[in-house]
Amino acid sequence: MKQGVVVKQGLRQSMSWVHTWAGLLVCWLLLLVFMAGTAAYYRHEITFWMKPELHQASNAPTRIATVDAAALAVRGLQQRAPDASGWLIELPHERNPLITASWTNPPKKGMSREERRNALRQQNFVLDPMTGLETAAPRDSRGGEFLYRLHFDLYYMSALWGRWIIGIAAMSMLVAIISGVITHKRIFKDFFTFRPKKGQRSWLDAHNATAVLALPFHLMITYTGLVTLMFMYMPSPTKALYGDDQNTMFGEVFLNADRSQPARVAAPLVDIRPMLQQAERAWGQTPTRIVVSHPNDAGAQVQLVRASGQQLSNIEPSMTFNGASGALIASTDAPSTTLAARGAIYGLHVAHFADPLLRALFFICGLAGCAMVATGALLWGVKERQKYAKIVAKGGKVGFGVRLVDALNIGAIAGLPVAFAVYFWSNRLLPPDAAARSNLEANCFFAAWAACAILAQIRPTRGMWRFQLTLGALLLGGLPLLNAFTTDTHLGVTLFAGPALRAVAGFDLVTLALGLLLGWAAWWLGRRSRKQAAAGARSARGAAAASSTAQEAA
Amino acid sequence: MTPTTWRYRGAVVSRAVAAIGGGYVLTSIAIALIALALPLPRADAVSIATLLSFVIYTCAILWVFATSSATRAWVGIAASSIALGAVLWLTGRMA
Amino acid sequence: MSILILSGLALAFSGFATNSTVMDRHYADIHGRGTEPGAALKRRLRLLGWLGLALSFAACIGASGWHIGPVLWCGLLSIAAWALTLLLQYAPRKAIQGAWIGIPAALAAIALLIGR
Repeated sequence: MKQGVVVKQGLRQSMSWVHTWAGLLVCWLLLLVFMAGTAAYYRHEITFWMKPELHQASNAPTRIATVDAAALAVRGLQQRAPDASGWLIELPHERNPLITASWTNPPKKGMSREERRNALRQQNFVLDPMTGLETAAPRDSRGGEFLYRLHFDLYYMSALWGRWIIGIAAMSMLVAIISGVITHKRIFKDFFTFRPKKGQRSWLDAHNATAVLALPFHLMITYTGLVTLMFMYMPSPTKALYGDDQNTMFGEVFLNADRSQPARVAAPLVDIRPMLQQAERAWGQTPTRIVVSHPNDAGAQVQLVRASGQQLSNIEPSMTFNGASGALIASTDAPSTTLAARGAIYGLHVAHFADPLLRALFFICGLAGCAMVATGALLWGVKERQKYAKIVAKGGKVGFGVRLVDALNIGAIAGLPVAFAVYFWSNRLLPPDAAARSNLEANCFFAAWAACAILAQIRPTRGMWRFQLTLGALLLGGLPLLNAFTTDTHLGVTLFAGPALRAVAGFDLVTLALGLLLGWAAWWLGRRSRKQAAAGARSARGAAAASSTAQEAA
Repeated sequence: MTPTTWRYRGAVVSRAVAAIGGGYVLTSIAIALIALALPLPRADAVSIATLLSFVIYTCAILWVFATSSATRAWVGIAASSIALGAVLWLTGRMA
Repeated sequence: MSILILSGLALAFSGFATNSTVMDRHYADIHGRGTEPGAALKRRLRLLGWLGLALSFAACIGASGWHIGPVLWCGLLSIAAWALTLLLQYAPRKAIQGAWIGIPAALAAIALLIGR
């Protein structure tokens, strides 16, 4: 990066500089995004694990007909919220075997964002799919939705701020990926290369292996992530073609967006069963979701949505009916190629189409993404530390940058898993009827992370690495045990039960595996420091022996 | 060792501003033009143009850092922004 | 269906392994430092390797269709590549021997693809 000097920077060198800084400045935030996002591939399963009160109901051997389930949900909603501005009914499908109904009210004036969020959390109930009766209210927990939202909205701030911060980090990551590919000189020759026990070289190999060997995924996930909020990040085409009329743009591009207006004339909602039957006949499958806008109003609309199935685009086919008359108003036609392509790009990020095997592959690649970011940050630390090797040997201290990066690395790479684990532990240990419980669980996540980050800043040593890695290993790996002590649906039961409870088993097994991984890392670090200490002692003795022989010879 | 003179630091900051800020401006103008130029229904045009934005932005950022001097980077970004901006303004007038 | 996907994974591993045999570093790891594969051997094995990868792609399309198949293929490629990388470091001969799995996998994949 020399301006106006004779030595010209090659493309590789300038891209190497860009790669380093585009990566380093956002890597710790990206670790949060990657870890939470990877977990979000299983957000339904995580939510389910975190609501043990629902486990019995989900294991139902038989189910009432979807049509009847929907009618029961509507009846429940009519009893509780006939004047709500909207109802949402989730019908049973593979990843969620229960019937959930929720409603939204228009926000009252003077309600804080916090109050509005809390009100929303109370406004739902769950029906047992076998009996159609209401289940016992599960503990108030956002479950996997917290992690899903965390990875693009962040927390403790308005969603707008969170999305902009993460958008900037994601753009930086995109630049880092492309510059990384350009600067990687031996990308084909070193494709399968991994040489352990060679210090900096090994870290680079690890970074390359996790990055290059899943490059399609990393490139895709970063670009598609930006695409999910692209109209917010890059508004100029919308401005050019639609002016200030954003709503029309959303309606034309997103097809299923709700644009109904209430007529402010009361009219009872008709029976939705004929609508469901009509949709089933047209589609050959049952709807998965019912969205009612302005129920019990003359302008009410009932939108039935079905899963998009084996297509990449996440645009879900829907049929919309007039809520007061029952007549069909609209059904989504096949979208244009461009809109389907946009839907496919969005869909690739969310992986809604993924069956268990493919979903597991997405999850593994997500973990590889975490490893890629982590090894990159660690590699920078190792490289920088070498510059201080002579100074440190003479008893001096490393530079401020190295110390800061070391501390941030510990806090993020070792501290974040602890935070995740504490979130799950808090779900089991907090009393089920505690007030604002889901907020408490989230606060536990951040309190744990903050503690780890602060401890790391105080003592960014190898001992701190081992401490936090061991803590993470015990907390994550201990989750199946905690589950056994706090619920009836522990591994002994869930491994042999129906598909819904097998998801709970899956959670237990994956956290156990991650705990073992962290434990191995802690053990490996301990072995290395013992080896280095032994080598140091040996070389000290060798030097002493050599000097004494030299003295004798002289 | 990279030089840590103020001149060097100034050059880095200059390129960063050109890349991040100037690049964003250039990208916004370019994709607005693409959206207007595409002979497709509005929804399709706005989707394609916005989808391309991150590709253009990335290329702009990388070019700013790859090109031989910060001055060259600024000239490139500014000139293309002004040129495309003029076309955009003219298209707006004609519509 | 899962046999097709499994053969897709095996073919990906086999294709990568075959290709890696004639890469300078890995050839030298097996045959001794400084040795290099001959040009004819390189061509033959590279062709076979890419054939394995192409057949793996076909297996994925057969298993999951033209939309999801390529996504599945990318995932399988990553798994196969990581497995091979670790094997080449810790057990290079086993890694190369493992390439032979491509033959039964190819037969299984072709049989299943023709049969549908």
